[in-house]
Amino acid sequence: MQRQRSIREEPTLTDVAFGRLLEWLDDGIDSGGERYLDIRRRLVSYFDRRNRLSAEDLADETFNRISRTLEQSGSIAVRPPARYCYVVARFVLLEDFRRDRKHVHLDESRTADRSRSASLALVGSDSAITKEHRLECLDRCLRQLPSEHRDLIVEYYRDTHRQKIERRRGLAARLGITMNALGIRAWRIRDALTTCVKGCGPEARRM
Amino acid sequence: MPQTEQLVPDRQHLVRYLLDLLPEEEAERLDLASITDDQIASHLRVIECDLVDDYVLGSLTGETLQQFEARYLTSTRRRDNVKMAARFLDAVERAAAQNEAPGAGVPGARVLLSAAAALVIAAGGAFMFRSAEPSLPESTVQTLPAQPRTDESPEREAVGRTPVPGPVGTQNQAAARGSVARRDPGVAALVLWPQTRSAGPLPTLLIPAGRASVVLQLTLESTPFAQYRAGLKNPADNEIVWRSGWLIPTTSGSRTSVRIVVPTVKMRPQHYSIELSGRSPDSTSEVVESYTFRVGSR
Repeated sequence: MQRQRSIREEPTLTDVAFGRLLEWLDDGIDSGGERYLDIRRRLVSYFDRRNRLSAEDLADETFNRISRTLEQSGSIAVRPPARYCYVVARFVLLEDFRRDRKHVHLDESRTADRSRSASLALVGSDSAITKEHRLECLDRCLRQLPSEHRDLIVEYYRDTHRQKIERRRGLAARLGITMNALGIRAWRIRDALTTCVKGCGPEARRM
Repeated sequence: MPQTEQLVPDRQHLVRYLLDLLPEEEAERLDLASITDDQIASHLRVIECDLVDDYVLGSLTGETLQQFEARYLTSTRRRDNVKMAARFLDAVERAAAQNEAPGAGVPGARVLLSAAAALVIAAGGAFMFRSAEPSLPESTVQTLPAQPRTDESPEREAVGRTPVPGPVGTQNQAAARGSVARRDPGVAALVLWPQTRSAGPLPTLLIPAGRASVVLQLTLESTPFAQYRAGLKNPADNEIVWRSGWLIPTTSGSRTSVRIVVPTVKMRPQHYSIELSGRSPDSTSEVVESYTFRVGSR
């Protein structure tokens, strides 16, 4: 909780401020909020890759600051918007590093150990019932996908090594798209599946 | 959306970025690109997804595997990604098996698939066999009693067996098993028990034609370790012909097991043993179980 307060120094965005942020991120092309979600995801990954514990909070803090600048200045000269997001995110990251250094906990080394053991444990602590719920949910979400999407990801993600590469190559040729485009298409469907799973229930949300 | 004019870095370069192996300056350049360049951002996601999948499937080796475990798995969010990927790939494998099986899409096909698969193998001792459906409730798993083998013919094995009364042994299901088993169910999966519990003839795996991989579920008596690695050994010369990555056991009902996906190119019609090693938090490992089975000829 202490950490949450230290990151979120300012109140969250008002509806008006949030609307202005979305419009600025869209940069003239109405994406219906997709651009915001996409950039937010990139920011979360950026902070996470830098091993920040509260990657989501830091991404939100980045948007909060941009929003305040929009509110105070009316516009932001740096373009494209994503570049400005990175500039602000970098400051947020550095501040978080600094904050960490200021609040070195006595049991820091033990925290690192716990992190390491957690990486080894992964799914070990979940109950059998919870796992069953999750698997059922995943199956249900997979069944709910349009059949062409379901077929595509089953085809794309099955097998290993050479068989997988050959299968993907064949699939891309059949669809008349590049391997890169196929990969992105498959990832989007998989991402939608993940979102569906997160909506399954309290057990599944912890997936 | 705006794109940088630079070329998208190759896969290996992005993998090194994800594993925090690039010099700081280059990592920062990619940090920027990962947020501002739509193409690189998408490419990075796809590559991260494949990297995690490769870890789950035990395909990572050497430095990549080492760095993945030492660096990538240090974040809770990324560990969650790995958990999700394991479940996703499991679901994909099950869906693929259903698609391949005759009668796919028919109500109750999962049960038929499982039962049919149980008939395809030559029944040995107290082992269990099921389709690539490791999460079915316990009641759908068919336990076959020990019976002497008299014929090696796969066709005889498939159709010659009297349906065994059991949890799914109703008249209709037995008939369904027979009819499905006459056709090639197109699935290859085997549940193995540790050698100490397997009495009688060896469980036999028949690999359907064209199948690239088979699923082996290695049942654990106890789970003192968080991660396990399997080695497929040719008993003739004690050579390990294939090794999995470090895998996390899963629990279904009362059974805990490690699931491995073995490429069929590594297998020939002969006996095999599997050595399962457990790894402790200090990275030492020891062999904890062994399993034996036979690959039958088709």
